[in-house]
Amino acid sequence: MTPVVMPQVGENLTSGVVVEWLKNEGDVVARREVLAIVESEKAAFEVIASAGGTLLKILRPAGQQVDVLATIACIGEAGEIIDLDALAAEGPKSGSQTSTLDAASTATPTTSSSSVTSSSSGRPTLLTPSGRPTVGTTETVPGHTLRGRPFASPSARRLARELLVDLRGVDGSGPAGRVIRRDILAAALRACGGSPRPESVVALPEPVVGPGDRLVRHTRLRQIVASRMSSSARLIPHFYLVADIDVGEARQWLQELADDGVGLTDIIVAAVARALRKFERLNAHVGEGGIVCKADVHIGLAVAVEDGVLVPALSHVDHADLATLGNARRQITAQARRGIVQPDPASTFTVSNLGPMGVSRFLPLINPPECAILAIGVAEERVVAREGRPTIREMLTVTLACDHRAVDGAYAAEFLAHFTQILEAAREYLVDVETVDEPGK
Amino acid sequence: MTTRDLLYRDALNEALHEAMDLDPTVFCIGVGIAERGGSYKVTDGLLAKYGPKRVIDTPIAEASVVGTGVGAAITGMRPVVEILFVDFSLLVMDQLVNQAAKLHLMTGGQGSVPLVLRTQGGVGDGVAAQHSQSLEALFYHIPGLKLVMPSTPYDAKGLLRAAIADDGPVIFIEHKLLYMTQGPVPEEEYVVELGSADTKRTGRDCTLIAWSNMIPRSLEAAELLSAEGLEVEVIDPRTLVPFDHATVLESVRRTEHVVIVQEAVRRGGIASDIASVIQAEAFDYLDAPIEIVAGLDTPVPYSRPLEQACIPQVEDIVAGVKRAVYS
Repeated sequence: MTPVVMPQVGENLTSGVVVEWLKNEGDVVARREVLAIVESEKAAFEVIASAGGTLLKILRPAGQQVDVLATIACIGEAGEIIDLDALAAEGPKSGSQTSTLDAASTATPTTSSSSVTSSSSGRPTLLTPSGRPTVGTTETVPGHTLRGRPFASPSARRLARELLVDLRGVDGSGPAGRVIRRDILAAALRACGGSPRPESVVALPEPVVGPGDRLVRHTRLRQIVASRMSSSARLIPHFYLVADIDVGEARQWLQELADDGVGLTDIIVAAVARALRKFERLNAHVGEGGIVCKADVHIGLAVAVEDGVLVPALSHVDHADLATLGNARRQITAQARRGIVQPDPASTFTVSNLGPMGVSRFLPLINPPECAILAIGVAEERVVAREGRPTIREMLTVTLACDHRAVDGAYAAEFLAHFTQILEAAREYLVDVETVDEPGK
Repeated sequence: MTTRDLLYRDALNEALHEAMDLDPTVFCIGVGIAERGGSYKVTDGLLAKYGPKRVIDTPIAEASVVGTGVGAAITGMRPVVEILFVDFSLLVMDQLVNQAAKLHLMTGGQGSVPLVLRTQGGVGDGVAAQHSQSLEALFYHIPGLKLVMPSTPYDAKGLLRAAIADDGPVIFIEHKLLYMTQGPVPEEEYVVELGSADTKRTGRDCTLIAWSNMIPRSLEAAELLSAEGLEVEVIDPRTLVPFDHATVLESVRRTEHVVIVQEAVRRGGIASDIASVIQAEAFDYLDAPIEIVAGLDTPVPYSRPLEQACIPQVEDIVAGVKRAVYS
């Protein structure tokens, strides 16, 4: 018997919601097959079968919120008896609430699959698809109720959500150790290197809905975007650098690559990844006590979806050739538009491209915990001076937003210059994916 | 707007003069209100000006007096009935609860009872258990009755004008310790709309809700707390029915800490009901349990020290705020 668990898809995530089961109890499933769609605070993603077999029991139906690493279903052989003790041992933490199952205590099956009957011991029994009974209901499955519930005021819980503070890591200063508002504010301010100053965060007034006005409630995604972007704007000291880049040569090269389905975005993303190899502090996650310079380059792409934005990641961009990159990009953006984002790998740098929508330049908000984000404007023909003469070139304007806690202007400027150099001579730099620094090497 | 300082009782007296000048259907009726001008002088001078047909002394027969008022109101008059102590209003409950509060609904809106019942409550200076009660929760509980409890001369005058102009029955409870308090009142006529709370003091640390005589006491407490660096927002709902939830909730969402102060006994009081609304509407904004500072669940003793021990004092309110803000 193999348990199916709610995946851990981020360091701070504590729970997810089962959105939809794609398989029913009794279905035969193959290893790596998608069993269900679950939703974390960030996005929807797939739960993959880690073993082949029969989906014996769905313990958490669609709509339920489940702690990460808790068991949501079991895969095994048809007719196999689900051993709850084994399940508990597989779970994130084993606890007191366990049930044992032995053959003697199981009742004779009298009803069809998955219906509840009463056994002689008075305990409800569940029938697996083969008709053999097992003990247990979702309430008796251990591992869901054992995780310590943080002792915090409602206000502290709300603030922790908004400021992306992990409640379990905060010491409470209220009565009996209750975590209260000031504790969350102190933790959030510590996280960005400040000292506690509670009055610095205040609630904005709620809007009034008058006659004829229409109230559009936030979707879950909207709430997540709102809270993450509020935290970004509130806690990250952004600074911006702007550069105009000649993409004439890139465009020419693109025409040769057109058969491979490569677009300008792919060249830009590849150039970013190449430039990041030399500027590890921008390919980083920013934390309380320092920054984590990530070993790999995974570029997040901001994708507009219905009433929100998702940031799926292109993995190992610095080692991918353009055709592969183009394919991967089309795949993840299409998935994102269906609301699905693979949780791994976590992006290390984000690119936001509003150029196709005609925007000339814009100031983006950093996607925490990343260190920087690059905003791409429209590629358009402009009159520029070259060697003392006006000439028409295809140009685009990029805006780099950086976290000033982690990097400074000169470092970011060097990165931007290097990126410009790569993009303007894209063919030389990017034709060989394993080229390290200089063209031709 | 030019103002002058008036006593609470004189502000009420002005409201009655203005209302009777304005509308010939307004009349006053009660025990000792005409010849004597009322025990607290609120109806002083009305008899001389408007005569015995509009300012009527009655025997000590509360049920009949209120019954007269309800009947007159049904015919289109606007009676202002005085019951000397809210404690005596228990004698008139059937007239109020079964008749006045229900008539508009039971006649399908054809009838109305534009009656104001003026009375006063709260502890005085040792007037014992039968003359010291705060019974507002009894009226608050009855659908169809409005309930007004002013804390300042300005509010008293403006709210009494609004109560008399209102087309339904309004219970208007004054406080015996407030009659001799003074405050600014405009020269011009004005009305304070029923259902509008007033923020008597602004503050960022805690929302304190109180009414009637608990307002001056809470403001005194807020002053002491301010010296310690705690800024308390003091909100006076002024009318308990209808209740201005919006003002309270806006403040609670800002301060995230709540204290409700009521002179009435703790059990079954209006404070509990206000707390239930706050926790339902602003749950995610509460950083601490809602603190209720209220009278003890006991008849008010005659003994002065015991009387004081039964009713929230300034130091009780200070302590309540400190508990609410974890200070």
